[in-house]
Amino acid sequence: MQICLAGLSHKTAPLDVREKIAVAPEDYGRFLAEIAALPAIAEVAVLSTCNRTELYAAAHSYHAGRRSLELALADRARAAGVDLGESVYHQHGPAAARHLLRVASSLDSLVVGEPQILGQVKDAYRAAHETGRTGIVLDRLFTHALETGKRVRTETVIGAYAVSVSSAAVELAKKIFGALAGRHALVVGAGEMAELSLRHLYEAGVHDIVIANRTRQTAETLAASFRARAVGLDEIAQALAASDIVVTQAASPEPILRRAAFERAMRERKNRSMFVIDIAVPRNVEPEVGQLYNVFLYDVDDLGRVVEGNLARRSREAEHAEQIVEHETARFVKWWEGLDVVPTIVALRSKLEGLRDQETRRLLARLDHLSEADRRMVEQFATQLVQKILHDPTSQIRNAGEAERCSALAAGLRYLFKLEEDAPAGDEAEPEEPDQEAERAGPSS
Amino acid sequence: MPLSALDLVVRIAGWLGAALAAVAGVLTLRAFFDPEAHHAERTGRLLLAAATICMTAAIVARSVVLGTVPLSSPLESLFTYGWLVFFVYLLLVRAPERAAVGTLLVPFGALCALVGIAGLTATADVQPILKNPLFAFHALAAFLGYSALSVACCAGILYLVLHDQIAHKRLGRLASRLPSLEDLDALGHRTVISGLTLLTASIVAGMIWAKQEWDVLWIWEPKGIWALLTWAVYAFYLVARNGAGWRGVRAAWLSAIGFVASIFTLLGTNYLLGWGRHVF
Repeated sequence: MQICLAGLSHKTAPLDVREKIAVAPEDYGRFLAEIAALPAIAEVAVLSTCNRTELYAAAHSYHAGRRSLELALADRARAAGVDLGESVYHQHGPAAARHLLRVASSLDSLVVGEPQILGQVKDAYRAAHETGRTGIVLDRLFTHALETGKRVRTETVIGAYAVSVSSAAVELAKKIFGALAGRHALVVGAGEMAELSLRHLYEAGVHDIVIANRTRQTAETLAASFRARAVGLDEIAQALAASDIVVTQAASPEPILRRAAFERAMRERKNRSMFVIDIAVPRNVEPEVGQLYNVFLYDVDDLGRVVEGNLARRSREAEHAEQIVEHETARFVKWWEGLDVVPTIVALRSKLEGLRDQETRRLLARLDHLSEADRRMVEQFATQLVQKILHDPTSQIRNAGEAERCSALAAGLRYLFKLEEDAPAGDEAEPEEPDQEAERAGPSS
Repeated sequence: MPLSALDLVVRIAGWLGAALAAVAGVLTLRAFFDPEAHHAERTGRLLLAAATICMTAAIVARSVVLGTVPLSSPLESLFTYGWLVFFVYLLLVRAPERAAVGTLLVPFGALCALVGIAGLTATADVQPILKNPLFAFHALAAFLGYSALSVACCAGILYLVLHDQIAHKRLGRLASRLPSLEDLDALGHRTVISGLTLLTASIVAGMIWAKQEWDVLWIWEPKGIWALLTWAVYAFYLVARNGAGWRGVRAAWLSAIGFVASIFTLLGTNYLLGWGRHVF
């Protein structure tokens, strides 16, 4: 059984292609049925998000499977009226397994470490599993991928670090205040970065916001989208005492907020912590403010350094995650190659037992002077001989160690004993299907 | 003999509890420093709960043997103290701070329990004066108070570590594992309030007890003086934090200083200034 993958992602296809190929949740069942009806496909699952559409299949042969998946994507593209061009990639075997494990671990994501993908893989698997489109191979592969994704999530902190200035500011605010819901924020100036930080804060639950700007009009426009209160620059001093988080990005040649104003505000708020984010250049807040008790002052360089450190940490974490994926891929491949070995052993046994029965029958037909007891002895001899011959190769192949070696040995056995006549491209014969092998072995034993 | 059977319960349940607590301590440390050990924290907590149950059995049995709370000798008290620390930790410390506080508190409590059970002496006759329920209340309230204050001390230490990283703008991996400054400060505040309340109750009970036994309210000897000093540090903590805006770093330092004072009250006055009626 071969594992095949065909798909396109943000790495190979532009958004306008991806969005046309993407499969809507209600279309999964129909699309899966279409693919399952194509030649050589035994199991199939489809993972479709806004960043990727990937078809995974367990096929009876790699080439036929690849052709079928290609066809399914091409049909879809034709129906949607897009040209896939060079955007479809293919993988098979261990590489296809590794790809899904990397995807589930968010290593192949647009933003490495983003948390949604694991849930999307789970949904994709559920959709295929519940409609009966998956079997022993894809069940195992997807379960393994989900476990790997969870392992990466718990064992690395790949998604834990903020990698933009505004998200780093919010992360820091959370380190100081804990939950941000119910906190008060003051935004001075209406620059782009200030607005971005404001958006992050708002999403984190800060809903009590005052926006101060030199031109009142700009402040009011910005305030409208965050249900905030707009004030003039002269009212900052009053607003300061109530503010837990202060973001400043006003164009001003010299500081707008001086130490004295903060001293007064801190007295008034009984030294409750205040987090001041000064992203203006030149700075809006006097650097001495950072020396005040329980005032945490970060300027744009400080935040930049935090982000730099986080980026370095994130790529270190990604390396660690890749190691986990490598390890888990090897584990899966070992299982999967094992699938290959079992039918070979069964086939070998049934072939030798068939020969034994055939030859014993022929011999006994010529030795009809033998007593019943002697005949039984001849039969026993043949049985034991075959068993002894089979014993070593079966146990050796099972204990051969790594998967590649097992499967090479299995291939060797199949070749030497002529266990399969047809080439791997053949679609009708299924020499690797364990159930059928078991049936074939049945009557002769 | 029912008594020797109970002694056996004390030994077996005590050692089992202390050993489980030690394993829980190691697991909690591992969970904190090694993100790969993701099952360690949960297993650690389960083991700690099991340890606390075993220790509870040991302490109940010991109380029956003694006829009073097992706080009548230093090592026995250490064991009981470890038990109370776990009790307070499991009941009072909630999710955001639990992992980080446990990193300090669980190994500390386990150490107390191990040393305590290792040095547990055979039960000599307890002085009749200690069989008074007032003693039980006085000692138990004091030790429960110290347990709450050890949580406050842990919260204070973690606060200082995290504050140092945020204030000096070099946030490392450690910072990502710690709860927020406000959460740590609030935990410290909460536990100081409970701890101080219990210390006050203990002192009042002690005074009533002294009045009953010796017809005086207060005996001026080292343990009493240090207890008063400890009490004053925490009372100052509350006044300064809430009245004078000493929240944050200063409050964290105060809870650490108070804890050192309380340890000295507990042990130092016994071994360094060992005189007075108050020594175990």
